[in-house]
Amino acid sequence: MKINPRHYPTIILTAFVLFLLLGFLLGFMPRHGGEGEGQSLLLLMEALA
Amino acid sequence: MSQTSSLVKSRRVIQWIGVVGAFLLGLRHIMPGEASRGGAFDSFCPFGAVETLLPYLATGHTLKTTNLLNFSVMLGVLGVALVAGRAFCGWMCPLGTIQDWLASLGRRISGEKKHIRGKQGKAWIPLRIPKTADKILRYAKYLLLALILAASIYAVYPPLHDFCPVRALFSFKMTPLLWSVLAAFLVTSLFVERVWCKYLCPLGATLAIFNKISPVKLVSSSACNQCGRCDIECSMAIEDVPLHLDDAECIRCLECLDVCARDGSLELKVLK
Repeated sequence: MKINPRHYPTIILTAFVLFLLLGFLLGFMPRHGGEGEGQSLLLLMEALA
Repeated sequence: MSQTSSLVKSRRVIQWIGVVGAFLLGLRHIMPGEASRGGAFDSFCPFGAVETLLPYLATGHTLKTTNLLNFSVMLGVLGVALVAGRAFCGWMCPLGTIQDWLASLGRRISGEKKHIRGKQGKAWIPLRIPKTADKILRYAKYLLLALILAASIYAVYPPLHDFCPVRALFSFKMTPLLWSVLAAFLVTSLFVERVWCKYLCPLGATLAIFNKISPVKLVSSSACNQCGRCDIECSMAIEDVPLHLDDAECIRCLECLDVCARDGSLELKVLK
């Protein structure tokens, strides 16, 4: 399917924002004072297992 | 192509936003107490997620100066890559934009008053690296990626932390080593177009595979007469662009599409 090149920036920006939000939804956000922290991925993997 | 002239403008705007965004993040980084609110400058870097992934999976803790935000930013970049390959490099990366600007500056100071798109100018900058050397050097970024991944297992800070040109350009917390990185980056980028992207960028190496699998692709048709305008305009110096549209080196900037003089020679398509 042919795409109008004018829509290309919208496509890539939308993809970026959607996946960024997906990251936030998965809990990949900094905590206050947080560097070198975080267990959410491990907790998610445990929950999925 | 009249319909794509706005494409170049859109790209310039997005690139500017990327640079200004990185600049503001750097400013935020040097504000008192800001590093404790949400993380350091490094935590906004998509490649920070790659650097901290193995230690995080092994220990449940991210490397110092990175945090979970890196994973979200990397997911955003992967989203772009899943749809359109290395489009992040061509459209959003502030480092890529600075290199484009430096290449443009290089053309001007070497005698090209106005760059006519698709036409070989008189400027001797940017230099073209000899083919064989260029081909070999392009593998350096994959080697660097492998080394960083290996080093990250035992690292405390992200392995690229002390050498990162993004930090050198935008973090405002300079060390003698970062000054050296900055000088090397500026000088080499002035002489060789997108030198970091071509030869050293480990994020580009990570995203390269997506050029082969992403559904949004450029395709060439029989209308192409191999005039070479796209070859001249390709900042990644890909040869015979219409024959190598899914090359791992392509940053999907669509400059080739924009500069193409024959309607229908290059088209943007969603392929199954």
